[in-house]
Amino acid sequence: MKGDEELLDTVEQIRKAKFPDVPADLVQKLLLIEANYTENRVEAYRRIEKAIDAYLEKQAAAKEAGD
Amino acid sequence: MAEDKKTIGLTEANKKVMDQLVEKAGFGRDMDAAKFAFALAVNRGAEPGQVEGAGTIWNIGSFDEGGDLKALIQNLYPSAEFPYRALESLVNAGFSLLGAELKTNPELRVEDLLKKEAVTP
Amino acid sequence: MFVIRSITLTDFGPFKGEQRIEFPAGSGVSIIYGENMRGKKTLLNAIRYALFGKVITRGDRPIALHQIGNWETAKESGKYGFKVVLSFEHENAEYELTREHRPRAGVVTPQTGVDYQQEWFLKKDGDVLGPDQRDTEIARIMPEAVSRFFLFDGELLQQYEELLRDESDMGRRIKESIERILGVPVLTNGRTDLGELFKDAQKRESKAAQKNQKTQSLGNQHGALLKQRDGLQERTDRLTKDLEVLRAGKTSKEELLRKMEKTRALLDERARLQDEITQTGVVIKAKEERRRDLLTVAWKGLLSNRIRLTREALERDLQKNREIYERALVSADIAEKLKKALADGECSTCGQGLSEKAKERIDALVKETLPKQERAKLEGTIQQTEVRIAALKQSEAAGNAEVLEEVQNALDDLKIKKATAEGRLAEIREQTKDLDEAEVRKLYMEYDKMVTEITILQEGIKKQEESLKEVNENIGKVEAEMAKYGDADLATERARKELCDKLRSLFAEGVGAYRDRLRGKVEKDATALFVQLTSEPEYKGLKINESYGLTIVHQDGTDIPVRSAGAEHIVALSLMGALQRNAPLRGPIVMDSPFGRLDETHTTKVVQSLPSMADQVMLLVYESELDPKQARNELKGKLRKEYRIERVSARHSDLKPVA
Repeated sequence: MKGDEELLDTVEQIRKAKFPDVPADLVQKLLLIEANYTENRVEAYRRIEKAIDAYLEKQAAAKEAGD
Repeated sequence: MAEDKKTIGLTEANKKVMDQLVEKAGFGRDMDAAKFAFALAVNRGAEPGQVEGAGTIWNIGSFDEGGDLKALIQNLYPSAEFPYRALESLVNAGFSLLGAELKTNPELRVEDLLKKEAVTP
Repeated sequence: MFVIRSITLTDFGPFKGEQRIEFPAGSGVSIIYGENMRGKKTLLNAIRYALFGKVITRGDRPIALHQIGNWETAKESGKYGFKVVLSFEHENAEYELTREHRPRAGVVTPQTGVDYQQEWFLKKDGDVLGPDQRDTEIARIMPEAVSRFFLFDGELLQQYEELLRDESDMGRRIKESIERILGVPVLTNGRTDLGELFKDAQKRESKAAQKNQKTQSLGNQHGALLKQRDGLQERTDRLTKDLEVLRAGKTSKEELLRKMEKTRALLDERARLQDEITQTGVVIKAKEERRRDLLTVAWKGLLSNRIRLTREALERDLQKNREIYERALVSADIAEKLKKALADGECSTCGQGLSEKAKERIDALVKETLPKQERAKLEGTIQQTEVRIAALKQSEAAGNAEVLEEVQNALDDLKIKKATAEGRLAEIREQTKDLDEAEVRKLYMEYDKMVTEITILQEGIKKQEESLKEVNENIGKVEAEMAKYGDADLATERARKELCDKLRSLFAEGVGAYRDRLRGKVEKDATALFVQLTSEPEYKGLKINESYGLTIVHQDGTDIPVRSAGAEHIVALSLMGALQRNAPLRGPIVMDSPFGRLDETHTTKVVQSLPSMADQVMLLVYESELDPKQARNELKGKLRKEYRIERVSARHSDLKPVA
């Protein structure tokens, strides 16, 4: 869908330029959540929080495994 | 009759003309219209004569307060035996003339008539 | 993408019994022909009803649902209520949406809305979804806020014009709908959510710091500052909301005042006119009196010539008689002397004797003199003449024709002036007859009060924002201090906080960037479509504003500020097409009265462009609006299906496929 691509592309360009250490797949995931739950704000918030938690846990686990 | 008139009157037709004039031209009193008619007749060279069927309208005392009109008629028409009789006939003659003017120009204005009379020698 | 497969109606509006429209697979245009009042708009409403449980009429007003059921069915079989089943496909899943209105249990003859109950459910690939899931799915596939871009009523075009008016309420709502369909809320909502998560992360950081002895005091400080900040933020938000409300109120009051401006001006004019009329009346009265006075003596002017001539003649006579009289007086004196001389026989002056000749001459002279009687008579005549002249002078008066005319002309002018003023006053009285003047004054006062309140609020918000800035700076300082400590929990929370912060900033920047990009694309696509649809060669394209309002641009670069209903139609269609192309959300376009005010040329152009506007297009038209032959010629293979709405009775229409 062209419209979606436009949105993703816009955000990705900014991410690359200004926030390169923010993972692209996480950003994509968050965008998808917001797109799917635009009318359900409570659900959107809950899922965003969960996605970020999941990412941070994965990072922590990867760091521990690396240690 | 061996004496002069004590009242001035108009024929039916002339009264209608007077009423028309008073309404349209804005004369304050019908007497002023009557004097105007008289003056017009004099200016047009009318001579005093007899009037038939004139109803009484004005009293001489109110029409010619001070007697200036009488003196004027005596001056203008020294041969007229009875000045007020002459006045009455001239007033009626004047209204006849005005009636004719109104017929040709229903929207007759006094100002225009005065101008016309001033021009005609 | 949302693609409709079929619509099944049961006793919905004039569609009695069960009736169905099928749409074949594949992209293209389907056309449903029907004369006025046969049910075209009802079909549009059927889709709206299925999706959102609403039915609207002209001007966007909702219709009470209990009035929708087919009247004949209710009368003939005592069956009340109606149903719509919408079958569609979206993202490779098959959906069946059913919604119906039935009388409540125990109600035999429902009269009002409360006598009915609504039921609806959604099947996805054969399975009925739970209510929450159902709601989420529908909201995701076709949010009501953007339905106006898919269910297009050609008679509501003026809504799109509102986009050109910055602060109109309708304009704001449409802008929100457009941004919704273009996906902007994905970013704005994300920005909000991540902002909240960031704050939450800060709180967690505080708590972690408080747990550790080394960082406890910093943690407490941090916590207190966060609380302070939250308080300030809450207050700022509240004030901002109040400000918005006031601003909206001010805008609508300004709208009212703009109308009032005229009224106020009218009221001022009314007062002025009343004064003018009164004054003029006074002057007219004075002039009329003057005129009457002038007319009273006008007759003298008429006579003045005649009087003057008579007077002059009399003056000449008087002169002549006076001369005669003078001579007569002198003669009389000499005659006496001559008589004495005759009697004495000598001159009384020199005493000389008189000759016979002299005596004869003297005798002749004496006989010539006027006798005394005659002299007396002449004297009388002279006196009389003098009296007459005096009397005539009395009656002599200059003509006042010019003055009269001047006064009459002035009167005419004044009367015209007064009549004009009276006419205008009557007009104003008519215009202001229902006006409540106290209300007008009240409105002005309320507006001034509002302006003051807005200024105060703005100052208040500014102060709050300054305090917020300070608090945030302090929070930053404390966080920097806390970062010096290598506590694991603290580090985790800090990492979380930093991630949320970055994500929030990313989304925030994305909002502006995406909007700009979108506006550029919508403008480009709308222009491309517009140029295709318009027949005016001097129109270069369209220009977009902040609210997605589109202005036509002339080839010389200037804007076309005012446009006809036909042009409005074309611009609206261009916008719709551009939105479809740029929206993450895709669906069918269902158009009622799509050609409205368009002439044949533009109708043809629109028909030709339809397949490029959306994958699935449904037209609800009447035959004089779009000739079926023309449609078939223009669309060819893109014409997928044709239906006709046929009249059976005033309350019964049937949907029939066109063979």
